[in-house]
Amino acid sequence: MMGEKAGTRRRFLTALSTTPLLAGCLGSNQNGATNDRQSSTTKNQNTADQSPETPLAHIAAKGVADEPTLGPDIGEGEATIIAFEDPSCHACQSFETGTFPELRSKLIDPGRLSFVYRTFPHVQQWAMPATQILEATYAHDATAFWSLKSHFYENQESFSTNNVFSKSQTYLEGETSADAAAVVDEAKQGKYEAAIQSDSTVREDADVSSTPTFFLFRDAEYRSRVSGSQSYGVFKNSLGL
Amino acid sequence: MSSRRGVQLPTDTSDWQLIFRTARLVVSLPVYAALAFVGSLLGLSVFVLSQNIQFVQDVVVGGGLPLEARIAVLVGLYPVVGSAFTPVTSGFLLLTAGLFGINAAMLTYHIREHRLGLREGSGSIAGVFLGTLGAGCAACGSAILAGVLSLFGATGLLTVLPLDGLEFSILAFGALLLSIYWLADGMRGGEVAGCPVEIG
Repeated sequence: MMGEKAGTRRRFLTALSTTPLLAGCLGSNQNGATNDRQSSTTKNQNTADQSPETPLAHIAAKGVADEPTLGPDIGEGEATIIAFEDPSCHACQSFETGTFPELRSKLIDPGRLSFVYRTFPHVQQWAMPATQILEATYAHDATAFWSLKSHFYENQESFSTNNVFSKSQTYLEGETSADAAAVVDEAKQGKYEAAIQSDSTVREDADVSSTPTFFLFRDAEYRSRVSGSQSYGVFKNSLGL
Repeated sequence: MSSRRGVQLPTDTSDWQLIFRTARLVVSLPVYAALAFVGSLLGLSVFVLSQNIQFVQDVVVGGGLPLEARIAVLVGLYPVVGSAFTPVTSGFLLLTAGLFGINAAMLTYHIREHRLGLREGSGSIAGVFLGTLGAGCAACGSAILAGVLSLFGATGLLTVLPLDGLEFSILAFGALLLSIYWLADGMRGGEVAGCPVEIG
């Protein structure tokens, strides 16, 4: 599928960041900028990690190269949206089932817009295990991640803390090529907790308190942020696309 | 004639007739009709734009977008035109905004023509406050809503509201209706546009 990034690099980084002896090695990159997905202390919203992998100079874009992304490489398209979403949030469901398909077909797939998905599980209790499953799925199979994410939103009312693991496994087994059993097992173990914590830290630093919240970038420059299930026209026009 | 003891609520048919008749008489005057319209638009804008003030500042007021793009973005934030609000929430927001406009017109008329008690105006303030909270439910965990609830240590309430926060819009609707009733009640025995407020 066009623009979907393999989870290889993320798996590698996650493995490193969860290894205590090596964790310190992630603290800086060639430019000396911090690239540790588990720590962030800056509160300045207009400065951020400026490593080659994250060309967007904004705190919401910190570590964004490791996040699930659709469309062109970040900074290479005309615009980028970084979304903070919760699989159990009804407003996110409205965005994902109403606006997102149009964004994808008209701007993302043609290579004009990069769309980054960051997690903020906070509405229903099942959102946290669902997020663990999403992170594990992304580490195994990026295509399956986007498919499962859509499945959560399209069937939001049917999920609960009691069935989220079993229903996700059934879906992954039947509809994707991901190793469903391994994904669910790793999610139950919280193997990708570091990735979730990284999103949480960035979210706090970027002052995100509701979902969905979108950070908008045009030509790699921060333009603004908007919350709520906004229409395709609001995104298209505000990004000048 | 109403007494001034305690909080008065519209209880029977004559109270509702009084509300509709007084509101109709006030907005039959062109100046107050215009005021009601502007007030409604203002109320709706407060409800909607307060959720994304920074975005409006960056993209609609500031930034370098062409005028038509700014207008399209601004209009797209409103209910019905945009997609941020469900049909039910949109309906309540529009109704609440409409009531706010009528309330503002009646309040202005009352201030100019009669003496105004504090109680008559208090409902409209509560209505705007609650209406803004209701609009906040277009996003899960709205900053405004969460901020207000956190003052009462009730942030967790957001996840258990059966109507996903539409409760605040309904409360806003009720508060404004009550405010209009109190204003109409205060005009009992008087005349608006040459017609008696109370008949029969």
